Formats: sequence, structure tokens, C-alpha cells
Amino acid sequence: MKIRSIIFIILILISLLGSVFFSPFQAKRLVENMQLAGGSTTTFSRSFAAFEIPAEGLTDQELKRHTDTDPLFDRSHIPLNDHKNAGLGPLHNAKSCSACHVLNGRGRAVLGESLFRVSLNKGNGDQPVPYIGFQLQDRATLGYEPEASVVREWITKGNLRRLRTTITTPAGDVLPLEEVARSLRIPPPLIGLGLLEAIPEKDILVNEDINDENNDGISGKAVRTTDENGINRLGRFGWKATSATLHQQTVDAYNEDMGLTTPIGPEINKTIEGIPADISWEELDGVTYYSQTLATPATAQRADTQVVRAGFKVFNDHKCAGCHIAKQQTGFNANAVAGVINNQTIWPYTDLLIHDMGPGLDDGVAEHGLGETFEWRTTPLWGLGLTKRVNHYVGFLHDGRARTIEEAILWHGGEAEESKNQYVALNKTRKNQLLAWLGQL
Amino acid sequence: MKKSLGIFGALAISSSVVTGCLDNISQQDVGNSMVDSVVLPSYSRLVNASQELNIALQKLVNNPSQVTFNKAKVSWRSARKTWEITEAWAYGPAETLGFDPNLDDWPVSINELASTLDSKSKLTSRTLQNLDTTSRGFHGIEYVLFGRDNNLAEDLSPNELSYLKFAGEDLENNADGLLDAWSGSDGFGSSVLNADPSNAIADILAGMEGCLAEVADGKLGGPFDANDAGELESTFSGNTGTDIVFNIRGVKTAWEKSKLKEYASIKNDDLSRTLSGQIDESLKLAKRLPVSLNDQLNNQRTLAIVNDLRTALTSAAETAGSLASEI
Repeated sequence: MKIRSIIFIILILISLLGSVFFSPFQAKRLVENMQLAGGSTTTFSRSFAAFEIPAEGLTDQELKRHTDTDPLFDRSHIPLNDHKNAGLGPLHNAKSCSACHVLNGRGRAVLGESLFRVSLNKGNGDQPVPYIGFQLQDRATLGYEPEASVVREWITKGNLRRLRTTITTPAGDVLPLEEVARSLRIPPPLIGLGLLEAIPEKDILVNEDINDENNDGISGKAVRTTDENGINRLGRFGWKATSATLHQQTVDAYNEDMGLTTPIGPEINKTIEGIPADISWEELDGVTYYSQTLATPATAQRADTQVVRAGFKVFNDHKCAGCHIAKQQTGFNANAVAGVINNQTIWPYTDLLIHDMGPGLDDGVAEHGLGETFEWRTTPLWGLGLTKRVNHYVGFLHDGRARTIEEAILWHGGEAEESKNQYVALNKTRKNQLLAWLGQL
Repeated sequence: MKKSLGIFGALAISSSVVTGCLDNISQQDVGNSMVDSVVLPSYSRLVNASQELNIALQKLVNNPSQVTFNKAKVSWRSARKTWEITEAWAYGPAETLGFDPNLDDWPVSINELASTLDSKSKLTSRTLQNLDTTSRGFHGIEYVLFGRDNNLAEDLSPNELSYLKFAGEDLENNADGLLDAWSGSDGFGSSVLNADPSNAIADILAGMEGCLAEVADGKLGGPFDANDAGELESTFSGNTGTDIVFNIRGVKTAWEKSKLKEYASIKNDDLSRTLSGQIDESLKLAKRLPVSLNDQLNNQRTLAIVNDLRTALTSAAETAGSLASEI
């Protein structure tokens, strides 16, 4: 008994000493990690150009490649003479990558520069619109007609607004709302994409819970798709996670957004149809590389600050972190485009899964055979607080309907309905704690 | 020891006096100076020069003669300077509201613009508005004034004259819009840039860094690395050298007239001095460039200047980045 007491006291002492010596150390590590949103790739710049900075930790050679490929991202494409429809278009949404990804952040939706996904309302929202398809190209080079023109109007109800659009074909026909679903898409920021691409599939799938077997009200679902090589993989990019890789995402942007054809491989400068490609493999690979090697901004506040402690607690208490999973770990790939991407602890606040977001965010468009039209990929929250520093005139969510972060929260429904309701019920202090924390990401 | 203390004491007093004076420069002062002494006056000059260019173009259209043709070309070069000097602060509305591409998209979509100008259809205001920004702005006008072998005013076709009429108005409207977007209590300058003075300082340095890097890697690196004169911006007028000089002058203006240079010297005098020296060196080298670089891509003397200039610009950009992380 006496010996037990001594052992007990010793254990207590060890525990106390441990808390004295190790807790601050551990807390410091947590502090450092949480602020370093992109791990070793993090930049501490929080200027308007924070999304344009190359990842920290690139080798000289990698940094040179990043710098060399940067101008390709800004290059305005134009129609060329090489062959029929060479160069830009003829149908397109934008003439350069940066025309949509303004300063690598969200786009110029305020000027009408963004694209619409469309589909027929009949069925499951997975039928293309005749003569348009699933993406409306509202611009055309000289001598061609755009597929349609779009007039937008924001309708405000209560404190929230939603978009009403009138789509008119060149023949003057208005596409009826009851027949054609339309979904404005604002390009998301490009930060940390290489890191998201490097999260092992198994670590994403571990959070999949299609039938909500753990009864937490959240049923994240992985999207399966094929990559550029035809291999079945996990979708992780795009508003509905329909692209598996950044290469595929880049190919799609060239093909569909800019009307530029791309080569099928490094040795063959031709498209799959056998015509000369508008974009060389070098340029395609270069632009992909550029997007893979951008830095992620550090949060404005350290984790030991009151702003972070209080806000992050509200975030966790109300299950926001159920989908916006705070921390992820990249894997190791000997062929990684940059070594610094490997084995990084990162803080993207996403599970990269799709979730039912409720009827308020149901856009009626099921992309790439997705079964439901109300499911959206959990948006990464890193860099959220810099959104309006980079582009003062943008909104949040897929179509920019939310003018503030709070409005974006209020649009959450479906699996996030309970969290949204809990937020609404919070007192002003707790709401401000959450918003202040989100605003410094 | 006593003597040493005296020296240190004197240094401390001297330092505190100097610091006291410099401490009067706050982040807010820098933000205010940037808006009131740099950005707004520069965009006012752009508006005036765009107006003068537009007037010169309308005179050419109404009375095509060699005098009005030459005056339009001179006005284009003058207006061009007032735009190029602003590229170090082309953030905010210039970028996010699209004024930059509206005024200065590059390269020119020659196929589309040439087809439009050569079309038998009459060119109207609507025709111009339907053209992409790669067929309008400074470089669209430049292409028609300098790039179509129109040596004489009488060579200008009716469609070319109509184009100049509408493109001149369009350019002036965009310059007006850019100034408006920055002006007043609701403008970007007051409501955004000055709302958080620490943001203003970070943005000024990022704007300088971006401009320096773009000149080094894009405006010089693009054409010289590819040995392709077609990649030179302002190639039709042969104005690339002047463009670059005014880009760097803009960096120097942002650095000095915003009072950021003085503010930065408090935080890190060494870096501040280094950056000043690198900007001055860049400007000195840029002034040695020929105005036209079109036939200079393989000229050894020009290549040597370009290489030195790119090195100086890159060093200055790196220093601006380092300074941003310290203040």
C-alpha cells in the first residue's frame, strides 16, 4: 500500500513535470503548425499578391521553373493562322488563365467574367443542353457567335441574395428557367493546390461515411473519376471534386474555358483527334507546374493568440470541423514535382469529399455523372481572410452570392444545417470570435 | 571608457533625434501619401494624356493630314508614358475591375483586328465594343497608327479612321473609370488601401516587386530569351525601351513619394539603402537602352545592358520582398 502510494505520487510528479516541461513545448509546436497553413511551403506575405508567391522551400532549379512558367499563366491567347480555329476559341469563356484567376484568387464575376455550368432540368440534372452542352461559352472570336449571352440580376431576400439569370441564344430565344438549370461558377483561389494533390487517397477516404454510420449527421462522399491517363482515381479539384489531378484540371481549362487544344503527350504535339495542338506539352506542363508550386499564406495570427484559441474552439464546438477538417498530411512521392511538397503537415480545412449542402445551394447541375445536384466539395478555408485583400470585389461560395463570410455560413444547409443553426443561436461574442478567426486565415 | 560612453551616448542621442523625426512618419502617412501623392495624381495625368490623345485622334479623323497624323503618334507616346509609370501600383481596380486589360492588353489579336479593319462592313462603335480587349486599348491604337505600313495620313482607310475615333474614346473612358474607382471616400484608395495602413505598406512593396520582376522576366526575358521581336511589348511603335524606363520610374516614385523609403529606413536602414541603390542602378541601365529594341535582340552592346538590367531588376525585386517581410 505504501509502495503503491509512493508510485502513485511519483506518477503524479512525472505527470506534473511533464505538463510543466512538455506542454509549452507542445503548445509551441501547435502554434507553429497551425500558422504554417502550407507547412514548409508557407509564405508570410499577406499583401494583395499573397496568392502569387512561389512555395517556400523550392530548390533553385524548381524556383526557376516556377518563375519561368509564371508568364504563361498570364499570357493572353489570340486566334492564330496555323490551322482552322488555331489559337483562342473560337468559343470560349476567357483568353488567359489569369483572366479568371485574378491575381490567383477568385475571378471578376462582378464584370461578367466567369462561366456557367448548365444542364437540362429533366432527369437528374445530368443531361446536356442542346447546342451548348454542360458549359456555356459566352464569348467567341471574330466571325463566330457565342453560344448564348447571359444577363444577371441579384435578387435580395432578407439579408441574403441569389442570382437570377436570363440566358438568350443568338437566335433570340430565352432558355426557360424551368427547363435549363444554370450555375455560375467563380474560380477558386489557386493556393496550396500541389499540397492537396499530395494528400494520399487513403487519408481522404478514411473520412468517407456515405451512410453516416457514425450518426454524426455528416456523410462525406468521395467522387470517383478518371485522370488524364484513364486511371480511376479520387476526384479532389473543382467545386464538385470532378477532377483528379491538376494536369487534368489544366487540360479542361484550356479546352473548355479557352477553346485551346492540348497535346496527348510530351512526344506528340497533337490532340487526341490528330490535329495540331494549340498548346505545347511544355506549356501545358509548365502551367500545371506553376499551379502546383504556389505558396499558401500563413494565418495572420499565431495559434497562441486569443483570436485563434477562441475562434477555433467555436469552429470545433459547432462541428464545422466535421467537414472542414483542419489538418491534413501530404504523403511522400519520390517523383513529386517539388520535394518540399512531401510529408507536410498542412491546415487546409477540408476533407476533399462532397456533401449534401441542402436545397439553398442546389444548383440543379450534376457534373460528370454525379448523382445529386446539391452536393459540393468542402471548400478549403486556407487563405479565406485574404479573399478581399486580393480582389475586393468578389463574393464567396460557388457563384459569389455571399458578400461576407457570415452570409456564406448562413447559406449552409443539408449536412451543415445543424452547424448553421447553432451558429445562428450563438451570442454576438461567440459569433464574432468565429468570424475573427476565419478572417485571419 | 568614459570617452567611449560619450561617443555611444552622442550616437544614442543623435540616433534618437533622427529616429524621433522619422518616427513622425507613420504607416498611415505612407498609405495616405501613396494614395494622395502617387496614385491619384498619376491617374489624373493618365486621364489628361488620354484626353489629349483622344482629341488628337479625333482631329486626325476629322482632318487627316500629315500634321494631325504625326500629332496623334506623338500623343500616343506621351500618353503611353503616363500609363507605364503606373504599373507599379496596378493593383486594386486596375487589376480586379479589368482596367488594365481594357487599356493595355497584349499581344494584339492581329488576325481579328486586321480582319475588322479590312472588312467591307463599316466599322461602328458597336464593332469596337464587340472586339476583345486584345484588339483595343493602347496597343490596338498603336497597331493602327504605327503597325500597318500607313506612312501617310492618306493611307488610312475609312475603317482605320473609324477605329481610331472609337478606340480613342474607349481609352479615355477607361482612364476616367480607373481614376473614379480610386477616388473619393468610397473609392479604393480611401475605403480599402487606407483602411488598414499596414496593408498599404505590404501592397506598395508587393506592387514594386511585381513590376520589377515583370520587366526582368516578361518584358525583357520573354523576347530576349526567345529571340523574338514579336514578343516585345510596344513593338509596332518601337517604344519598348521607353516603356521600361517609365516602369522603373514608377517603382522609384512609389518607393520615394509614398514616404515608404523613409519609413523603411527606420526598420532596416541597410535594406532600405540597398533597395534605393538597386532601383537607381536599374533606372540608369534602362536609360541606356535604345528606345526601340526591335532590331536589338542580337546586338551585343544591347544584350550586355539587358543582362545587367535584368540582374539589377531581379536583385531589387528580391530586396523589396525581403523588406516586406521585415516591416
